[in-house]
Amino acid sequence: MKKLIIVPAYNEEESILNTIAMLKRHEDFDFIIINDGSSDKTESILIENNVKHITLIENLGIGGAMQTGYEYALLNGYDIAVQVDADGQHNPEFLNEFITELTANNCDMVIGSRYIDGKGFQSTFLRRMGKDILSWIIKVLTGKKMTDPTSGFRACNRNIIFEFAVEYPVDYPEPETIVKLLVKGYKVCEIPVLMNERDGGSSSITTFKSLYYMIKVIMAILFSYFSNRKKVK
Amino acid sequence: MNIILRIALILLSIIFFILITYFLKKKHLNLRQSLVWYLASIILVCISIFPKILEFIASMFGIVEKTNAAFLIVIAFLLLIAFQNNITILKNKESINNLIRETSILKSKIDEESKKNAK
Repeated sequence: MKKLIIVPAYNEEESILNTIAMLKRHEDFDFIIINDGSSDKTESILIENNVKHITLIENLGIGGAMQTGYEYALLNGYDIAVQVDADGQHNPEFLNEFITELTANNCDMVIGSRYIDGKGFQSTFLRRMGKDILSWIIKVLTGKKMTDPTSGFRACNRNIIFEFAVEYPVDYPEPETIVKLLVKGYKVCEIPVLMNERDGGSSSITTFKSLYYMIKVIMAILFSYFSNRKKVK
Repeated sequence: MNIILRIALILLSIIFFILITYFLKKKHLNLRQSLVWYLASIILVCISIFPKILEFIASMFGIVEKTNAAFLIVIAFLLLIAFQNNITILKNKESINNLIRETSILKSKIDEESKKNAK
C-alpha cells in the first residue's frame, strides 16, 4: 500500500525542518511538501536539504495547495493520503493509527480530533465555541457528530483522493469537505489525537477575521449540503 | 429636453458607436462582447434622437421624471454587465488556478529529472 503525507507550507521557515525530521522517522510513508508560493526562505531550505517538494508558482491558499497534493497523490498512484500541517501542530506519532482506522473500519476519511479525549493543546475558548457551532450545524444537516470539524489532520483513501483532486474548496476547506463527503455517502471517522501548540508562524485565522470565517464557512457548509444532495438524488 | 443637451447626447452616443467599431477592428473587443455594447449604443442614439421613447417608458411605469426612467434603464444595464463580468472573472480565476497547479507539478517533475540526469 502506497502512503503519502501531504504537507502544505506557507511561510514556515521556522518550523518546516522540525516537521520534516519528525516525518522522516516514518519510513513506510512518502511525503511531499507543497510550498504555497512562500515569500520567506521556505523554498531555499527545501532545496538545500534536498526535500521532495512542489513549489506553487503563485500563492493559491490552503485549498489550492491541498488540491495540488491530492493531484500528485492521484498521478503517482497512492492509496492513502494524509494531510499534516507544517507548523508542528500535528504529531506524526498518530500516523499509524490513522491507517489502522482507515483499513480496519472501512472509513473513507479519518479525521484526527483533539476534542475526543480533551487532552493536549485545546485552542482558545472562542475557537472552541466556533467549533461547537460548526459541529452542531453538521450534526443537524447530516446526523453525524464530528467533534473537530476544523481539524486539518486527516487521512483519506483513494476514492477521496480522486474526489479532492477533481474539486477542492479554495479557502477554509475542512468543514465544507466533511459535509460534502457525508452527503455523498462516504464514511467519515474520527480518532483522538494530541495536538501541539504551533512551533512558529501564525494561524491563518486571526481574531479579526474569525467572524468573517464563521459566516463564510457556514455558508459554504449549507451550499455544499444542498448542491451535493441534489446530485446524490 | 434642452436642445444643447440633445445635441451633446446625440454626438456622445455616435462617438460611443464609433469607438466600439474602432476597438473591434483593433481586436480589443471580440464580436460577442461587442454585440451588447452595440445594442447599448443604438438604444442611446435612438433615445437622444427621439426622447419621446423615454417619456413613453416613464409613463408606462408611472415614473414622473423621465430622467429617472433613464437612470433606471442605465443602472439595470450596468448591473447586468457587472454581474456578467464577475462570472467571467471567476471562470478565469479557476482556469488560472488549474494552470498554476498543473505547471507547478510539472515544474517539480522536470527539476527532479534534471537533478537525476546531473548525477
